[in-house]
Amino acid sequence: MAASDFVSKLSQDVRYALRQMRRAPGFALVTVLTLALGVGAAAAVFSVMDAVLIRPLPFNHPERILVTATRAPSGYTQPFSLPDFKDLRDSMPTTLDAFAGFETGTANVQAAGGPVSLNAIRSSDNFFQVFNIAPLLGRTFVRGEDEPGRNDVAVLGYDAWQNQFGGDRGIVGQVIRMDGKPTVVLGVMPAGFRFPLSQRNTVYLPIHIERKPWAVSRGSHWLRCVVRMKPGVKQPEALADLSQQMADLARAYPDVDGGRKAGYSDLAAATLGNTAAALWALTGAVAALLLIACVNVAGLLLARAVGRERELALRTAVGASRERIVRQLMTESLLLGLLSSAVGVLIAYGMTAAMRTYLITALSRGADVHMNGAVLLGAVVCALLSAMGASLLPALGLARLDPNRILKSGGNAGTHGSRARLRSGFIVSQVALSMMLLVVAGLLLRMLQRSQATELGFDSTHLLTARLKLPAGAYTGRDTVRNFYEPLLEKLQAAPGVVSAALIDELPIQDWGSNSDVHIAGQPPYPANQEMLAEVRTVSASWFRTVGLTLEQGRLLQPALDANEATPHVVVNRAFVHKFLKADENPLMARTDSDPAAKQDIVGVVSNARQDLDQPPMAEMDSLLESVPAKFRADITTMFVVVRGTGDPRALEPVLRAAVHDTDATVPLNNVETMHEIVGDQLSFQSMESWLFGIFAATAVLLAMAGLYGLVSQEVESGTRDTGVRMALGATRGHVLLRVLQRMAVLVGAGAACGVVLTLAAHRLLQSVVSMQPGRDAPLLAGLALSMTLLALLVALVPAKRAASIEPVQALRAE
Amino acid sequence: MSTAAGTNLIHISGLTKVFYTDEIETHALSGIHLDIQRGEYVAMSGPSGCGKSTLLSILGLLDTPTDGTYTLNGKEVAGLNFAERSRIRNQEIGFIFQSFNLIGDLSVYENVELPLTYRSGLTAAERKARVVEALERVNMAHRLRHYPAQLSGGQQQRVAVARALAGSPSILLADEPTGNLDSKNGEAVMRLLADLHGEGATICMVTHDPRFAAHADRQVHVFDGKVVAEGELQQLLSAAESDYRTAPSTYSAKA
Repeated sequence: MAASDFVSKLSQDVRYALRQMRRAPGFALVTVLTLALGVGAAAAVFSVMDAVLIRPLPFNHPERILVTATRAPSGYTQPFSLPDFKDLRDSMPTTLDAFAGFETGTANVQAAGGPVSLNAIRSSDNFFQVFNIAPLLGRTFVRGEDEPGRNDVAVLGYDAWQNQFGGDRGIVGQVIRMDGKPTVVLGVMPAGFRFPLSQRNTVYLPIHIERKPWAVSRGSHWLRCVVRMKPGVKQPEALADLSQQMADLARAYPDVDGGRKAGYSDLAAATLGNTAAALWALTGAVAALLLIACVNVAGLLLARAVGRERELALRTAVGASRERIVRQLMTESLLLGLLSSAVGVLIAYGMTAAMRTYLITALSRGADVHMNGAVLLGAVVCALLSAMGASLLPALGLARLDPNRILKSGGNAGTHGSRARLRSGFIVSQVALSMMLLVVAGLLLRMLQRSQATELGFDSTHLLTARLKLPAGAYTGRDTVRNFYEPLLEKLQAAPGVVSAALIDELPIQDWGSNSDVHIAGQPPYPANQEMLAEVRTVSASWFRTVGLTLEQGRLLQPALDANEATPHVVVNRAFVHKFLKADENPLMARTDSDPAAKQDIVGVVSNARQDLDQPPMAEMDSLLESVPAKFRADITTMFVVVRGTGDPRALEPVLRAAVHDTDATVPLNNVETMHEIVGDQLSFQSMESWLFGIFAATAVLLAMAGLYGLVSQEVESGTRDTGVRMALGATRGHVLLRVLQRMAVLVGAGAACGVVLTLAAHRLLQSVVSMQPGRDAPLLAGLALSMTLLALLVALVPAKRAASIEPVQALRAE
Repeated sequence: MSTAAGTNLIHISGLTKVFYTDEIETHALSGIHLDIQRGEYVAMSGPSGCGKSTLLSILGLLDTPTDGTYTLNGKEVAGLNFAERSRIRNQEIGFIFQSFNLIGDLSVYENVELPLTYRSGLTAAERKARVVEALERVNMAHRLRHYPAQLSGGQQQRVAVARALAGSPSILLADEPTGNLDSKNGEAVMRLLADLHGEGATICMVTHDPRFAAHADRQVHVFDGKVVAEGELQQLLSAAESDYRTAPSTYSAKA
């Protein structure tokens, strides 16, 4: 009986709630959209947080996996050298289960549709032990499979298996052509396994050390390493163990390993890089947005409560209990919350999809960002709680009203003063939160603008770039320069629309490079703790002209003069001169002797070109492609081609593809990007973060302004009689208009001031996200506060004008 | 307040007011002629809907006539724009409403000060002096900081009178000033108006209570939008009552 009574009352409440929504569709629409915006944005950002920060890495006990690197006495962080790695792996610190090395690169695979370039991880044979994930099909590497003669095997990543081999379960044991060599497929990894996490479409290969003779030197630090700790071992114990081993190496090889240390970092932290703080800031922003939405809805409900006093007083008068009134109001809110969650989920889907596009480029786990069941449930619960939380205050207020007083007064005799104060408080808090978001968004957008305007040092317009990966083995014993690179450049130079074309082994504006210790002949040995590295690049002679570098001293490289294997000539940049030479030294008389067997003469100095967007130009030393000794030219299998045109660089892509195809049809063209796109990729996270903050701030301002409009409209409506009285006493329309605007200016001004104070108070928390200096940024803060106030006045103008157009006689007659 | 008794303060001639609702014309006032002398206390009475409140609204420049002339203090005011009417309302007219119409968010002091804030050229000290003086005249100076909700109905109306007085208007227009008060408080307000009149104030009061109308120097009777004489009013009222009694009601016709 009690249950059926409950159901009956509930269905009555639901029916009544639906009727209320039909009666005031505008109110329902605004409430649902407001909450949905807050909830949708929160769910989208939570999807990112879940995928990137909360969800465990897709490895067995990921907390036991550490990334390790060495630190040179100069403080420079470097990977391990191959001999050091082998020594460490062989003596295996007792705290570890596995110590694996790897390098990232690409591999050409002959797939059904022609040659394709896949991401490739070339690793030691124990690589998969670190992650302890069983393959989906077949097996992973066994001991000894990283040794020459046994290493023509491959494990396919799930994406590569699906995309290039159509998910063929019979692939295991088949021989495929990898970099031109027959390679046996050992197995396929399950979906979700990726390492590094940013790599998709990957093939895992054993390291082919026989193809890189330069890499066996103990002074060549190129092998990145990951380790797996034994169960129960803590990071400090593992570090102490590794330090002991490094000390042994330093004693054994003091020339190269003296003073070198090693360190660990948590894999999750290393994966996330410096984006964690930004993601937490985004979470804070979206929480503020949700709070604004809730406050706004509370304000709307409060305004509606004024109009419903008489109705609810009547219900109370005919016997409705306070609990029943609250329940009825909460049922209405529940329905609003359900609708909001449905719309919010749609918004969240849209936002997540949009963010994912940026995040795939920007974050290692960006591709894992999806809406999932937990996030969906969270969004629904969040919308329901928000709707009910926002309605609780007005509902309790209405339930406490004295029906006798209201019915006697004909309604509207409640605590309007306190409600007006509460709604004013809502406006102030909304404006304050919006202001905080605006300030952070403003600062971020300014930072982005500055990054985008960073002087690159070269002319990035009209430049198209692509990565060339020669099939391994195809040029064995052949001169890649004579047989591929030079003919390619000749074809490109003659192609229509091409102003200039060049080759370089590492493009500028990347977050990686290749460097080497440099010593200038005649100078005393540099102290061990002094970093004396220079970026080293191999270029075609046309490089400097193609990217628009300026010759400052000497001459540019010329094949006729500089293809000298014995003493190759190099061109250095201005930063090199500042770093390695004294002011009175002539760089054109200088020679490097870091490698006594291959001293390099400086023949020219060019202007600086930035190698990394976040750092000032580094010292760089460029040598000519033709100066690479003939015996090593077959190993020049990866180069970047850069083509300059006069218009849209994308228009040059067919020309570039045709030239590569005509030169060697088996060479795939990868990563075809304009230089502007490369710069954009580097800024993709910053860009997404800035725009998201901007969108959240704009939404927050929109909601705050909507709330403000609602408040002013409601005040104007409920204050019609007072306005009539004022006019009867001599107030002109101007007085009335001014009074409304003054009130709004005070509220919004107070909100903006609170926002500025809060932002200043929180600036320490925000330090890792955005740089803020109260002195420097005062004009921005003042400008935003002023803009917000002016916008609010503009918004308030419509209801203010309505108030000013009231006819006093009608206002008083209505009374 | 101006006290030059005996001269014409208000002159109204041929005043009409027509309301248009959809296609229906309602003649609220039809050719009203009325003069009010300075220092005079006029009571306007008549049955509900006869047009007395509309007339008072036009006298107070809250509404505009459809036709006719209205001269206030020697100036034609019927055709003035909203701003000019606001200025005259502020300087020449003091309103006393049936429902007091005090502003709930403002204190007693602020309510009385309100019309003065719309007037330029007054310093804060001058405004304060006038407010205190007006409140003292109605015996409410001890309630300066109170809010309307903290006062009784009679006290609220006294504050409303003080607000009307504060601007030293040429005329006080009172619309059923005792309508929301009990008889004791109603009498008190009427005594207050009589005292003010005794001090020279010009008052025009709408009332349907003959006891209160008797306080006035002159009674103006309004019927069907026209000013009628006392005897004529009684005849009209009797005729209207007789029409009402003899007209068959819909209910009785069906019965």
